[in-house]
Parts: sequence; C-alpha cells; structure tokens
Amino acid sequence: MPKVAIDPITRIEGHLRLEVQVDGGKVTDAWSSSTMFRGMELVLKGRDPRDAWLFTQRI
Amino acid sequence: MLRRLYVWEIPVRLTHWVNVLSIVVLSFTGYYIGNPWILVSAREWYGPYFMGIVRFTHFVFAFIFVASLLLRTYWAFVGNAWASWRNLFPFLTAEGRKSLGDALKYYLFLRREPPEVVGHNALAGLTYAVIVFLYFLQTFTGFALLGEVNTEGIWYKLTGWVFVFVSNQVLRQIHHLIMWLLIAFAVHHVYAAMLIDNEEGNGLMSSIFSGFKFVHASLLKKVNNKG
Amino acid sequence: MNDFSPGLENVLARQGVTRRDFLKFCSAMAATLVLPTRYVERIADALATVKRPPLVWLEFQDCAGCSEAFLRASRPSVGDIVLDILSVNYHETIMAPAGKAAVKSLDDTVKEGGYLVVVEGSIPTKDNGIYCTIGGRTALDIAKQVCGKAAATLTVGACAFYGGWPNATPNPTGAVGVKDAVPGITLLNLPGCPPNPVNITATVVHYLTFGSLPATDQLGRPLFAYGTRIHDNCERRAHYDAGEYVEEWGDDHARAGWCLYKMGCKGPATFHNCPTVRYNDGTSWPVGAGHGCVGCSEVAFWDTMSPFYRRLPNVAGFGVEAQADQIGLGIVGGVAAAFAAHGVVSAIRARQQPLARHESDGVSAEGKEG
Repeated sequence: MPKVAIDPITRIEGHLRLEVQVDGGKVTDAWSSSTMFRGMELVLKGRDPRDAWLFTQRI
Repeated sequence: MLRRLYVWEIPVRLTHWVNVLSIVVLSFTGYYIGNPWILVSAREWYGPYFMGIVRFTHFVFAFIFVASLLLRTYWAFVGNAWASWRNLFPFLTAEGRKSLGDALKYYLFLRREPPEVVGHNALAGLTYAVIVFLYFLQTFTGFALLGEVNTEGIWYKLTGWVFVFVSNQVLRQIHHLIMWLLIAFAVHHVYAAMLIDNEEGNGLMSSIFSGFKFVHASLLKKVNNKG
Repeated sequence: MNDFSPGLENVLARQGVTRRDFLKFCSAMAATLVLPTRYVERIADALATVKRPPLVWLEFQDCAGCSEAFLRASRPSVGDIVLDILSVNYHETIMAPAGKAAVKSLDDTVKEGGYLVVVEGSIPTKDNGIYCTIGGRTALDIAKQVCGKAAATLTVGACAFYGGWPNATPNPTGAVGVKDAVPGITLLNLPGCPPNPVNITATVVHYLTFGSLPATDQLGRPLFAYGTRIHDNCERRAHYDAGEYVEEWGDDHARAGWCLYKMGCKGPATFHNCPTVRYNDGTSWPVGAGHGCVGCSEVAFWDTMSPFYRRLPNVAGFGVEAQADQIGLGIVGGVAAAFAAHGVVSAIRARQQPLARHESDGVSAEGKEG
C-alpha cells in the first residue's frame, strides 16, 4: 500500500510536508511535518522586550 | 644641584594644548550629538540649527585635531630626543624595560623612588603609545561615519571599505567608548603629572607651559654623555 | 514550458490598461531608478517589445513577507505587470501545482536555463542544512543548483541578503544569506524587511531595458535604492538639525512631527530610499508615520540596530541596559576613584617617607640645554 508524500504543500505561508497512507483508495493514516525551523524563541531570549514585536511579526 | 633644562619644544607644547582644547570641544559636541540632552528654543539665534552648529563645530575641531596629530607626528621624527617617537616604545631597549619595571613598582607602592628621567618616564611613554593608537582609531571611525554622508567623497573612499566587515553601529560604539577612555586617561594624566611634580620637585607642571624642567646635575651629565 | 508572449503593451491592452497608464508606470520606474526623463521612452520601448524571460522564486527560511510586499504593489498593479512581463514558473505561495508537480516546474525551468531567480528567506547551514528542506532537498542544495545555473540571482529581503532574524544572535540554525551560501554567482541584493516592491520592480525593469543589473555598492545593493542614507533624505531632517526631538511617545513634539532621533531612529545609520519612494504607492513610511527607522536594509540589523529604541547596541557581557556611554562613564568614575585613592596613599607616603633629594636641592641659573 503506497505512502504518498506531498512536499512542498503550496499556496500556504511557510513550508509543509504531508505524507499520506493510502489503502484501497482511502486515506488510512497521515503525517504532517514542518520542514523548516528558525528558533525565534531562542533569538528573543535576553533582548529588550520592547523589540519583541518587530521580531514576532516576522514569524 | 638642579639645572634648568629645555625639554619640551614649542611644537610639543603647542600640539599638547591644541589637543587639550580639541578633545574637550570634541567630547562635549560629540556627547551632545549622541545624546542631545539640551533643550533649545527656536527663538534663540542658534535655535533653528543647534544640532547643526554642534555637528559643524565637531567636524571643525576634528580637522584641527588631525592637523595637530600630523604636526606632532612629523615632529616626532625631527624634534629633540624627548619629542621622539622612540619614547612611545621604551620596551625596545634594555634600559627602557628596566625603567618600565621601576616606574610600575613606584606606582604600585613597591618602590619609593620615582623614575629618574628627563623626558617621559617609560610607563608614561608606553601609555602615550596606547593613547596615540586610540587617537588614530577615533579619527578613523570618525571619518568613516562622516564618509557615509557622501559615498562618492574622499572620506568614504578612504574608510568605506571597513563597512564590508563591520557595521557602522559598531564603529559608533567604538567612537563613543574611546571618548570615555580618553577622558579617563585625562583624569589619570593630570593626576600623575601632579604626583610626579610633587615627588620629584622638578617643575613638571610648569614645564608643559614653559618647556623648562629642573633636573639634577647628575642626570644632566647622563644626558650630555649621550650627546 | 516557458511562455513567450508578445510585448507587454499588448498584454496590458487586453487587460484594459491604457497606454497612458503604461507610460505613467514607465515614468515611475525611470524616477525610481534615478534616470533622467529621456529614459522613459527607452523603458517603454523595451517593455513593449520584450519577450518574457522565465523567473523562479525560491522561499527558504522566510516569513513570506517579501512576497506579500511584492504582491501588495499596485498602480497599475505592479505585481500583475511583472508577472505578465516575466513568466513566473515557480512560487510556492501562489502556484497552482503542489508536491512533485510543483518541483517539476522548477526542474524544467532549471533545465532550460536562461532564467532569473529571486530568493526570499535565509539558508540554514548548520547540521548539513537540515533546518529547511523542500521536496526532500535541503535549501542549501537547491540554492546551489538553481542559483548556480541562473542568468542572475536577485535576493529580496534581509534574510536572503545576510540571514535576517534567523541569523540574529544566537543563530540556532547557522542561517546565512545567498552571498555566503552560494559564492561566485551573478547576484544583486535588495534588502529590507520587507524591501520596497517598487525597488524590486525597478530592478527587473532595468534588467529588461538595459540587459544588465543596475550599479551596486560594495554589498551588492543597487545604488539607486541604497546609495544614500535615510537621514540625508528625511523630511524631518530640519528638526534634527534644530535639536527638536520627540522625547516620549505621543508627546507634543510627536504631534508636531519632530525628529525621532531620541526614540532610537536608525536613519543616520541606514541606506535606503524609503523617504523618497515610500510604501504602498507612496502613502507613507515608518518615520512619516511617527516611528523611527529600524535600519532594516543593513547587514545584521537585528543585532546592530537593536535595541530599536536606543541609539547604540548593547555591549555583550554588560547586561541588558549597558551601552557604550554608561560603560564609559563607569570607566571614568572608576579611574577617578582609583587615582583619588592613589593620591591619598601617595600623600601619606610622602609625609612618612620623604625623598632624600628634597633636602639638598638648589637651583642653578643655567640656560637651555639639550
């Protein structure tokens, strides 16, 4: 039974990968994984809190 | 016996006082440029262009300071022994290294006798080497920041290459910090001059005005023997 | 397959864009490129007859802000114009196909060659670049291949320029820009967070009109957009020169539109054409709206221009509030205190242990020597 991977998912903001288990023409299982990490929480740590909004806008 | 000896030539003293005046003006104007804390009324004649006037003054004295540095650098090569660039690097000779150790011990209260020299003592000379380096760095960062106003101009051509490696904000940081280091140095410098003047009784404080110091005959012999 | 249509003017006419509007667009482009008016006709001719070169738009560690900015353009719908002049074969945020079909569009364009590539978002390099993968390939891999074979690469935004906020301390993923990830390619950078879509369009128009990319500074940014500092074009500059500053948000000075220098405006440190071109069809820009510039077109601005409401960056290791001036004042205070103490001890020492020579000094009336 084939496992189908759809990567990239388009027409969304950001990156996404979907894997889908197909059995007898029906989806029996599915996995989603985000394929991109940047670490905004780590970047924000230790900074002036008044700057936070400018960073988080760029999530 | 104390003998009256002409130590600090005119270019040395002139550039010293021009530096004092320049650094004071550059510090005040520079501090204001970074932190404009003075409230100005637009009704005063200087009001509508106050920051402009302060910046202009800063730039004028920057050029005066550079002229003074150039003159003093030239004189360091053609002036007398005590104006020489060699005073900045006492560690180059064995005698200088000993003198450095003696001076350090004196300041740390480990040795009673202050360093016995006619011109700068070795520690002072080495400190001046650091200060001259700070002068150079301050001038460079200053002209680099000025250069950004016109990227086609001469200052950007001379200094603009540095922005590939470092942000202009870092240059600004350095420019601010060196101002404070120079002020700290001035505090130390005036204190040390007063201390040595008191301890050696050689008219040190007066010498930066008149050029003359009072040295012991024995020290004079050493000077004369060196030719 | 790549689509080559007849000239832009016909395409626009079919969409109901008049020649008058088309010429207005060409004038706006000439002005943005800081070209004299005699170039308007040349631009119009070039755009009227140009074939549609293919373009692929890659997104890596991005927020899609640059795409959003670009698509917000209008008058007459700059996004439409460029998308009609250029055959945009790959753009994950707007393209129809997904998955393998999307990747096929990219692969086909790369195989044919002669394409432009726009890169948005930074490229992670740590741990073999695993922090951004598309279709099972790392961003680094894709960038090296696609940018390596392109006719030219344009980066949009701070991230593709040098790494953007993912690159900000501590840079957990080793994020870098295209210039560091793929050295040695024909590259032009259009930084900004986001960049002004007018500058992106003008760069493309320049390329189509003259067949080359506009002149750049030492960081690969086109001079027409990044050649002068914001401070030197700012409409509030007279207030700066007069010493008239906003002291607090919402005070009378803010209402009067005074300079935002003391609120941390980084205009004096930033090269960009925001005051002249402005955003959203020349509606406004940060300073015009009452907030200081954050220096978003400069390298590492997230670290060098922050804290955004103070003039200088914090000095590492000295705590959140410490800046050069506080540290400097501390140094002066420390030195003064140290030497005050030294002076007291010296005075005590001088009294208790007078120096031998002080008891036998006389002065001779010798003149100058040495």
